[in-house]
Amino acid sequence: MPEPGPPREVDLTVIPDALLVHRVLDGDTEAFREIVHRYSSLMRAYVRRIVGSLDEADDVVQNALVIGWRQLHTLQDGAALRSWLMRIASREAFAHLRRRPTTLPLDAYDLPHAQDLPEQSAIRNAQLAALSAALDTLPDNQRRAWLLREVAELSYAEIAEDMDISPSTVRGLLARARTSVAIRMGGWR
Amino acid sequence: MTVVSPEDSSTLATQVRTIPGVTNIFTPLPALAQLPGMVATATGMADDGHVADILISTDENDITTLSARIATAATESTPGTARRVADALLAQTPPTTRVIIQVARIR
Amino acid sequence: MTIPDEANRTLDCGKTVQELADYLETGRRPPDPHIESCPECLNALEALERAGRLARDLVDSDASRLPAPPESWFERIFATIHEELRAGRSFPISHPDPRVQITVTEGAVRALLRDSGDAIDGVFISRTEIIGDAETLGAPVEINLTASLRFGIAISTLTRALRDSAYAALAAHTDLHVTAVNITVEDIYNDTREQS
Repeated sequence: MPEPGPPREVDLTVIPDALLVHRVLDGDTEAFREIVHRYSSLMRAYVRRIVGSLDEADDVVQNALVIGWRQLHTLQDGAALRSWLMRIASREAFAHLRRRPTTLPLDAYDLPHAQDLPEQSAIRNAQLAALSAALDTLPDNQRRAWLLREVAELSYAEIAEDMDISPSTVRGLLARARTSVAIRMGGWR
Repeated sequence: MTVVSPEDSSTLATQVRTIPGVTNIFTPLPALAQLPGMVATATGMADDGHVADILISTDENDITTLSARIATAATESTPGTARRVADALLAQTPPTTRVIIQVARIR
Repeated sequence: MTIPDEANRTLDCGKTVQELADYLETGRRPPDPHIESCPECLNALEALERAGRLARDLVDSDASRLPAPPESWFERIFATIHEELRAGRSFPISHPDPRVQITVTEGAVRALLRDSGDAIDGVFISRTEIIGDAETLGAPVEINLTASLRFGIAISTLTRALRDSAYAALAAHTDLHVTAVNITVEDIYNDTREQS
């Protein structure tokens, strides 16, 4: 077990991502601990949307974070840490899907239901539920492109590289995905 | 002490822990390979799960070497602490023994 | 207006939903004069964009409601990382007895430098470097520190305090022959809590 040290003098939670990255590269493992705490929930939630179960998402994100640590020296702009980590999470999530021998039966999916959402405005709840349902009905490649664009915030070039297709194909997938999602959410009114 | 044994290793480690300025003993490392990666401080992790202590090794000329990897307190002079550790180990062993101390963490 | 249930359904003005989605993906450049002035098209564009804005909300909402993983999940990550860390160089500490060899690791000294900087309010050390043949006792060594200072703090006061702190720490904990402590102020950072 890593040795617990005395309380740190500096509060890492207020340090911006770019500086944290430098610090990790300088050898400070506490700085990496802060990065893990800062982004693990987001990555787990996102990966769960892709692989369908929280247990699998936890495994995937655990790997993704270690990969992120190993590759951190390749990150050009520390301020882009969030989307960079999401990109690694995406890659690992889809690789996990390819390795999985069969698709899970529907009842193994433990995605959140609308009624689990906190008390917010009813309209907002309905919107989120509709989006969730709409995403689930998309063909795999459209959903993947849409998630990479809208949530992981990758560029067309990055999505194209990840999915091994051309940027113009990415654009077409995104157009169809956005259309389907918007229609299913009943947004034409 | 003329014969080295695992008990000696633990006994010495226990003694070293009581020396002022020493805050921990880590698993001793063999000769450090230069691996790619980041420079960092030691962690105190014992690779095989048992309590980390002092490495006692003997070479082909029957020269015994004691190796200790320690953490020192930021409130005490680290060279002072490390020298006290070395002196304590020298006092416990035959005159031909070598002592290697590595300070891997200062907090 | 009827609600289209296919991507190729045409709006009353003649544009198809697919065309509008394509237009969105080009970033609305170059601007299409019809689309940008047609209320029906503009409503449709808004609908197409709304889902995107909600996407981050959806995942953020998921994330805030996820149960935290067990401590062991975190510890496994850090255990893996610790195994892969490089110890760096070893800097000698003198001892009168020739049978004794004492060193302090580069990792320990760089952490020491970071700590000595962090101890000063408003200073955050992002990089440390130990330049020179530090593995040879007595060889001249220079220290480079890259610091970020919190917005609003006087730079000259801080750099002086930082330099003093670094020298003191190195004198107390190493036998390094430090000839210079060079400080680069790279950033002024804002407390992220104030930004949100």
